[in-house]
This record gives sequence, structure tokens and C-alpha cells, in this order.
Amino acid sequence: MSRSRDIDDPRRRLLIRALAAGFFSGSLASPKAMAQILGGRPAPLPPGQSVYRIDGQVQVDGAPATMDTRIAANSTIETGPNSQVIYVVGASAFIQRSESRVTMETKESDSVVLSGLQLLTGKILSVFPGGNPVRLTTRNATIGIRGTGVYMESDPEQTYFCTCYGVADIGATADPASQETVVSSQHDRPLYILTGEQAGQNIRRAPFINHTDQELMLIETLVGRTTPFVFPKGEYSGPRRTY
Amino acid sequence: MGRGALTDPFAEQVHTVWRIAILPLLSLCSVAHAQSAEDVTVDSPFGVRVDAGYMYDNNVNRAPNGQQRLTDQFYSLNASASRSLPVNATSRVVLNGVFGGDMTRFFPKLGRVFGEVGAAFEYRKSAEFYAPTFSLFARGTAEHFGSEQRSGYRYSVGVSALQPITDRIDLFGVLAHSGRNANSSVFDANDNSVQLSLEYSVPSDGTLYLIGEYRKGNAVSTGPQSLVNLDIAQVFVADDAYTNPQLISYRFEAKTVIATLGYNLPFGSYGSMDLSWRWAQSTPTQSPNFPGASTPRYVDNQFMVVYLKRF
Amino acid sequence: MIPRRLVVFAGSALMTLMLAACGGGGSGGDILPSQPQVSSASGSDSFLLFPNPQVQPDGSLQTNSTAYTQAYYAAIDPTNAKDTLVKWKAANGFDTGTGTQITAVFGDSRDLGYGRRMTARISPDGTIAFLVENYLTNPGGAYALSQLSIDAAVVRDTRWLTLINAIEFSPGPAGGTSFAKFFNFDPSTGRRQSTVDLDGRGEKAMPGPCITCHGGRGDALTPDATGKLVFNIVQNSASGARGDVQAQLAPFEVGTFKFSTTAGFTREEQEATLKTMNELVLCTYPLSPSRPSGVSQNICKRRNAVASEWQGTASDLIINAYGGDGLPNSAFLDTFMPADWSSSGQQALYQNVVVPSCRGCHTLRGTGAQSDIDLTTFAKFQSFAKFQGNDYPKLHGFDDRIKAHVIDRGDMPLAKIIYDAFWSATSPGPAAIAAFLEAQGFTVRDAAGAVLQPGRPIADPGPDRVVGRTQGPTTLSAVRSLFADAYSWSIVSGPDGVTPPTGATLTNPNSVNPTFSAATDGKYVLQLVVSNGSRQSDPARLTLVVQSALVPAATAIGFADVTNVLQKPPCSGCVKCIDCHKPNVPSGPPVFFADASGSLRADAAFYAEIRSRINFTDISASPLLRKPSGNHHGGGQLGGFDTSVLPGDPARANYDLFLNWILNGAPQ
Repeated sequence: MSRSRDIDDPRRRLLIRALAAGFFSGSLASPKAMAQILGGRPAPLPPGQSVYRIDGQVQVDGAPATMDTRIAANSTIETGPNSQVIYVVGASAFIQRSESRVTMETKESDSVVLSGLQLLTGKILSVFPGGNPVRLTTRNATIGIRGTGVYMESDPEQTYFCTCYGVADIGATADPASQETVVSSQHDRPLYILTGEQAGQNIRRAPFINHTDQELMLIETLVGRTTPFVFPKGEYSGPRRTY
Repeated sequence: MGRGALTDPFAEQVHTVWRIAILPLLSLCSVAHAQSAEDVTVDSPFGVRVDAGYMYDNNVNRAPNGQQRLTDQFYSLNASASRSLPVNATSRVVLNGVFGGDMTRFFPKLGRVFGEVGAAFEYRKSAEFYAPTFSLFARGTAEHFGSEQRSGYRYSVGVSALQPITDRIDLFGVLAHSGRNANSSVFDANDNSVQLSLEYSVPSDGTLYLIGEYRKGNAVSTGPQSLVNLDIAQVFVADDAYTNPQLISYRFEAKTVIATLGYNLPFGSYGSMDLSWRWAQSTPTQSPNFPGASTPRYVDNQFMVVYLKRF
Repeated sequence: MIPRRLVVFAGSALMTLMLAACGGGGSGGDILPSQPQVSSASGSDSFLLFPNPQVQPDGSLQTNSTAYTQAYYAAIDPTNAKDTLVKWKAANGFDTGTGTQITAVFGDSRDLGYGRRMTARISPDGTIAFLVENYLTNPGGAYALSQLSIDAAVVRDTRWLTLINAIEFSPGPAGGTSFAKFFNFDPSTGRRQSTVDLDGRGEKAMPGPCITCHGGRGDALTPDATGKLVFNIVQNSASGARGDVQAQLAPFEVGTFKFSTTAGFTREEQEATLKTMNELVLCTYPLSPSRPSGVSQNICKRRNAVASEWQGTASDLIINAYGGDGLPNSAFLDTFMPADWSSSGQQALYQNVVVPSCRGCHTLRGTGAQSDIDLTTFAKFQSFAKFQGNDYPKLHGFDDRIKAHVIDRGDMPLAKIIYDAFWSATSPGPAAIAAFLEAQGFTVRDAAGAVLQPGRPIADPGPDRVVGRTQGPTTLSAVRSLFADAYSWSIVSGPDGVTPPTGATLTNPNSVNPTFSAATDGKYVLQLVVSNGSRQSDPARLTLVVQSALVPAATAIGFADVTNVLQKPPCSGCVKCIDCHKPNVPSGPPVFFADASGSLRADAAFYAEIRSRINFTDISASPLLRKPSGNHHGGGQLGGFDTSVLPGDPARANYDLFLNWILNGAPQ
């Protein structure tokens, strides 16, 4: 049994990661170790660096990922339970959540320009550069995008898809009659793409879940861009002043 | 709830809050439900947040020493909603409203219902990750306590700034002027405050926050009448919430330091659990007028658990 | 564009706000500690003012005037050697380490409601002085002693230091016999104050607020040889000094005090100090040959009393409280019951009325010649409550002063806290005094049986008198009615037995000053009813005896006519006023009408002294009228002053002369 599976207490994982990073080794913790714990200062990743942050168990092309792992445009990235990885492929950036399996696709084997992304299972937040069409596929949905920020969750019964901003052509794989184009400025129309409903009824309105504008801002920063909106959704709500 | 069954002040509070707070709460939710698609939505379907909380206060009367301190427990239920109105690409107006109430365990008249509206003008230069968000805000609250002396309204105006430090740490600062106008001038209070909050998104989950605040202005304490509190009091009154034994509440000028340590843990869908500990110390700016008198200090600890749910 | 539902939402929220709050503004229970305690008016609101305030022709009250204060301090401190607290303390040897100096802290719950830090000392030269810091906090509620005021006095919390009083017992500026002098100093500046507000009822001129309760006289100022108004000399005083108003130091009735619970300031811990203070008070009292000294000669030797002065009556209380002569007991215990009160079976009246409401001030009054006012016997007390009946001939020695002051005018008790305590719902005083007065024949209860209280309208049509029919209409006056704003006069009867009597008229019967005319001589009875809002007074009757002409006419009576009465016997062999009212008469009175040779005085002060014997606020109470009529007068009733007979009767010709002179303003 993997040691990581024994770790289900977030505080213990934090502590162990800090130990692994030499945080308590007497000398001041390395910047990378500090960033793992206190957060990093998002900025465009230097050339050659793909990974911004790893939390927990992450594998790239079958091998455990590290901060130095290079993720190619045709890599497969897998995350374990209670794990997350933030990474960049070319001009695209991603936050891949726990228990997710994603395969990047490119037209040329050595290209960093993505042409497609397969979300076999799990959840992923993605931003893509403009002007380059990308095809996103899940078990039951096929989505064409150009220069968008999107969030997807995939399980056998349904796909959750939010066009955070930009244009997306959404179709139910098993139901050609279920097609929709979404033009969004800020999470205007999250959708469920279903399987097994009546023809033309396999795309349905969905609530806004499980991703934030702050995350979008973070990964756009990693690829040198900004979101089209200035204010994250919802006002800042610090703890109320009640004394 | 039948009126004939009401013999316990606590139960009576429950009935009162049900009648005054819960039913309007439900109507508020129905108003939120009717929001149209054109409205600017927040990160929940209907843009409404409900929070239910419990607080233990070890010095509810803000007394200066251990013997005079009284404890109480507060049960609160609030509903809030907010809407954002874009002005242009870099600024917007955010409106919010809150309606809610508190019940108490031992001193029923400290319970209240309240309504609050607020507006903030926010400005952010760009969508750059580190671009700070500045806000100019104003907030007004009307509250009705079981204690008639305390009922009235409050307001707060100020400026704030939110600055991301890292992708896990935010720094939030506020400069505010607050005022209160109550039926008894003892509870008319004004103060100026500066607050700094540090929020840390814990890698596993949740948010740890630390808030420090400094206030200068009026404070209120309740206790037996004494020469010390008579010396520093600007005004006092026989408190209608503390009648057995009868205590007096008095207002005085003070410097107050408040520290809050809390943890907010996401809980279920659109929910979170917030645990916090707040420590506050007020020190009067005026000392008693006789030799050997020491300036009293008023220290309060509050422990809170709040469940928040967005709809 | 703002969505409509958002507008609805905002409006609902605003409505909620307005309905939920309904707040703002101060509540009635808020108390500002910086403001003095509420001391609302009660009774006649003339606390600590002399019942005869010496009304001047311009209507001013001389004993409550700047001139009075200036004259007082010009008399006792002509060089302003004690016009600051520092100077006064130095002059009296405070904190010099000489003599004996002691301090006690207590709460004065009965009289003034202050926490008092009192320092007393006796100097090697025998002078005695008391310095009092008075602390008054405002914990809310009506004016009264609070425990916080005592606490403030213990710790000397200057925020609540309200007054600094001082009494010194020392010779006057020219030396001689010591007497009590009264001072008040500003707590902030230390300067001597000319006015003082002791009870929240307004500033009053010194030394009035002090000496009204300390047994002092309230005589008018009199002109000196140059015509300058100076403080009067009380002619029968031992000192013979201006400024000696015959005031006394009051006993410390320790049982009426409240104390702190702070160590060092409890009653038990201060009992010895308070006993020493009472001994110092005893030292200031003249020693009557009929009374024990009380104090050891190691402390002081009390001066022998002269026959005409106050005989140290209050020493009985102190000596009794400490177990008798020599003061053997260490703790004060007030079990004092004068023998006559006890033998008269009037212990309850003494305990419930005299002790809490009268004794503190009255025990310091009276003289060797006339001591009724000290109320030390039931007979003396009773002498102020003799009901005369409603018609003539009336009772000899009629006296309604207790009813007048306590039930009608509300100017006794003279101190506000004592007054309010007397009339409080739980006080036994009103029922006790009502029972006593009813036993004397007075009506003092309303139709429901409740004791009448001051504040109700009281009609005062003026004293019965004789008027001259042919010497013009008679102007009546209801101005001395109390708590009234509407008046209704009527003629009840006349000599012809017809109602209304033939030929008798009242012009402006609903005014304060109607005029009365009669066509025939005889006895007329008029009635006055006054009201205040919906409250109406009992009717009061005025008997006017109309004669065709008075000789002299009422408006022609001058001071010479009055002095003529003073120096002439009313009959052959009868006593005349100047037989006693002159120097060198044992147990002599305080005002002289003649000089040492027995001749009528001719000095500039004489008229002022005589006028000082008139109470223009309550004419019937004027000593100039009451004394020769036999009320508390060493000389008894004199000829021509028999008030039991109808006005105009020759037996009261002198009284009628004096009365008409007074009603005409007592012109010189």
C-alpha cells in the first residue's frame, strides 16, 4: 500500500511534505518547499518548467511527477486521491484535481501546441490561448473551443462543463441532436452533458461548482495572460465584524 | 408553537425569533429564487447565503475582572445576499443585504433581530494576479433587541484593500469609522478602526485566517456600580438586560485591540464550517480620579462555530 | 440597468430595517455622572432660607443677597485674612503638628447627603475648627446619600469633591468671646465662595444656608454711623461682635451616619475619633449652671453661659449618648428622651417627628429667657400648636406655627433631604404630626383621610384688622396665599345680618388685590378661596371691623407711632417694652429698644432692627406682633396686644396700630 494512501489527515500530509522538503532541517526551507506550503508567487513559468505545484500523488506518463517533470503535449497525467497538480503545456495551463486522468493531444509529436485534451475521468480547470482551436473530449461529450477558460468534470453518467469565458461548441457524443454553442464572459452557462436522455435532451443547465475565478487568474498568470474579467465572481467576504 | 407552552425565556426567544426572523428569512430566500438570468449571479445558484452559528462568550457583559464577568451562549441564524453591478471594466458596485437574529441562553434580552444593507464601490486596475482590489464601503444596520436600550441602528463607512501575497495568502486591510445610535445613549458608540486580515488557503482544504484590529472610540461595560466605573463613565444606565441583580451599563472612551484566529473548512456542496476564537481587550483612555486607582482592563474571549451554506 | 427584482429586494430590506429598529436617541434612564443629582422642588422650595428672609422695599430677600454675604465677611474677616482655603487652614493651624487634629469619614444620610471627610482640630489657644470635604457622586436617582459618595470621600476622589465647608470657633477680629464662623471654599480654586448650593436647589448667599440649621439668627443688616449697611449685632450675645449670629456647632449624631466598609473607615474604627469630635463640639457650647460639663478639663474648659444666650441645650444629647457626665462610653448611642416628653407619654411623637425632622436644628436655638423653640419638652412643642377656633373671642396664646410651617407652607423641615424623608410614603412622621395637631383641634386631613401636604392651594386673605370707613376703600391682598394662581373673594356677612350685607362692595373680587367698601360700621366677614388648576383651597375667612375713622389713619402710621408704643406703658403701672429691651437686663432679649439709660434709641440702626422683626412673607408670624401678644415672649402679653378680641377693641389697639403700619409697608 502506498504510503500516501495512509495519509488522510491534511495536517499530517502538510507536515510530511514539509519534512520531505527539508523544512525543518535546520537551514531555512528552500523556496520550493516554502512555496509548497505558503503558496507561490504566480508568474510565467520559466522555459522548460511544466509543473507549478504538486500536491499529493501525481504521475505523468506512468512515472511519479516532480517539480522538474516536463509535461509534453501528448502526455498523460494522472492524480491520485487527495491530490492536485498545476502545470503548463505550451501556452495552456491546467489545474488537475484529485483522481483525474488527462491525456494531452497534439498534431505533432514534439509540438507544445495542444490540439486536444481527453478527460477520461476526474476534474480539470483549463485555459487555452486564443486563435488555436482545441478539441476537448470526455466519455460523453465533445467540445470545441478557441481561446477559452473552461472547467470540466467527467464521470460515466455525465460531463459537467463550464465555459468560464470565451466560445465553446458543445455536443453530446451519443446524441448529435444535442448541440449547443455557448458564448460566455464569466461562467454564464454551466452545463451537464448527459447520456441516455431523449434525443436533443442530453444537454442541460448546471449549477456553478467546484472552481473559482482566483484559480483561473492563477493559471492564466502562469502562461503570461490575464482573465478577461477583472473582479473574481462574488465579493470578498472576510469574516464579519461582530465584536 | 403554542403561546401557552412558553414558560422558559429561552423558549420564548425561540418563538420570537421564529416569528420575527425565520419566516422573513424564508421569504427572503423566495425573493432570491426569483432572480432572473440577467442578474449578475454569485458563485451559487440563487446568490443567497445562510449561516447558523453558536458562540460562547466568557465575558458577555465586558466586565473588568473575573468576579464580575458573566458568560453566555449565542445562537445565530442569518441570511445574506449580494449583487454586483458593473460600472466599467475596472470598477463595480456591490450591494448586499443581511437579515438575521441571535438568541441567547442566559440573558434573553441580549437577543436581537436585525437587517442590514450595504454597498461598496470596488476598483481593480487590471486582472493581473497581484493587482489589489480597493473598496469604498458603507453599511447600515437596524437592530431590535429584547433590550429596548440597545435597539437602534448602526453604520460603518470606510475603505479596504485586498492584496494577494501568494496564491495561498491574501492580505486584507480596512480603515473604518463606525457609529451606533441606540435608544439609550449608553449604547451610542463611535469608533475608528484599522484592521488587517491574513488568509491562508490550507493546501489540504479550507482557509486559516488571522485578523488583528485596533479601535479607538467608545466601549460599553456592564457591572455593579462602583466608584471606578462612575469615574470613567460618560453616561450610564440601569441595564434592562441585567436586572437580577440589577447592573449598570456605562459607556467610556477606550482603546481596543482585537485578535481573531479562525479556520474555515469547506463542508459539503456550497457549504463551509467556520471555527474561530476572538480575543479582545479594551483599555479606558481615562483613569479613575483617586490615588492608588488602577485603570481597569476589559478582556473578552469568544469561541464561535458557524455553518455557512450557499443556495 | 438595475434589475427590477433587485429594486424590490432593496426596498424590502430597507423596510425591514425601519420596522426592526425604531431606535435612536437617548432613553429616560440615562444618567450623566458629570451632572449633579436631580434635586427637584418640593414644598415651598425655600430650603435653607430663613422663614423671615428680610424682604426689602424693593422685594429682594436681604438674607439671600450679595450685600448680606459681604457684610458678614466684612464683620468676621475684615482684612480678608481667610479668603482662601490655604489662608484659612493656616490661620487655624491645620497640618502644623500643633494641637490635636483628627479626621473621620462618613456619609451624612439625614441632612445633606454627602460623603464627608471631616478634619477637626483644637489649637493650643483653644480655638476649634472643622474642615469638611463634601463628596457627592451621581449614581442616578434623586438627591440623597449614596454609598459611592462615602467611597469617594474615603479615597478622596476629586472628581466628586463638590463642596468644602469650614467652621471655626474663635474670637472675632477684635478678640473677646469665641463664636462660630462659617466659610465655604471652591474645591477647584480654593477661593472663599459667597454663595453655595448645598442641596441642588440653587445658589444661596452665605452664611444663610449654614446658619439656618446651625441655630443662627437671620437679622437684617443695619446702618452704621456712616449709613453703611453692616452685619447686625445681636444685643444679648456674649461676644457682642458683629458676625456672631448665635450659631452653634451641631452634635455629631453618629447613629444617623453611614460608613464605608473599607478597612480603617468603618464605624467601629472611627467611633473614638467621632467621640473626640463631639467633645470638641461640647467645648464650643456655653455651660449652663444647670448642666454638667461633659468634657474633661484636659480637653477644654467650657465658658459659663450668660443668662440671655443659648444655654448649651444640645449638650444634653451628647452627654446622654456617651453615658453621662464624663462621657464614659466609647460608642455613641442615641437613647435621649427628654424627661417631659417621656412623662407626657409622647415618646412616639418625639421619636417619629422631633428626632428625625426637628431636633437637629432646633436644639441649637433658644435663649435663657425664651427657649420654647428648642422643643426639649412636650409643653414647648405644644406651645406652637394651639388652635384658636373660628370666631371671636379667640383662645389666648393661639399659635399655629407647626401647622403653618409643616402642613401648609412646607418650609419645615428646612433641609431638603429631611423634608423629603418626612413626607416619604414609609415615614411615620405625617401620621404622628397629624394625630398631634388633630388633638389640638386643627384640621389636617382631606376628605379621604389623607394627611394634607404642602403644595396644595392655601388661601391667605391677610390678618383680621380694623379699617376706617371714611378714609378710603380698603385694599385687600391675597398675595401671601400659597400655591395659587386664581382668586375668589366674597363677602360672607355684615353687621345687618344680610348676605351680602347692604352697602358693602368688593371691586375685582377675582383678583389678588380687590378693594372693599362698606357703607356702615361694624364687623364684616369676607372669604377667600384660591385655586391652582383644578385644585381648590379651603376657604379662609377675614374679619374686617369697619369704624368710621381710625386715629391715626392706617396710611398715616409712622415709625414714631410705633416707638411711642414701645416706650409708653399701656396703662398705669403696666410693663412697657423698653423695661426689658435695653442693656444690662439679665436674660435680656436680643434687640434693644432703649439705650443703657433707658431712653428710646435714636441711632440709625434702630429702625432697621425694628423692621427686622417683621416677616413680610407671613405677616402674622412677625415677632413684632407675636411677641407682645404673648407668643413665646419673656414679657408675656402686653397691654394693647390682646388678639383674643375683635380688631378695633381697645384691648388690642397697639396690635392694630402695629398691624396697620406693617400692612402699609412699615414706613419710617
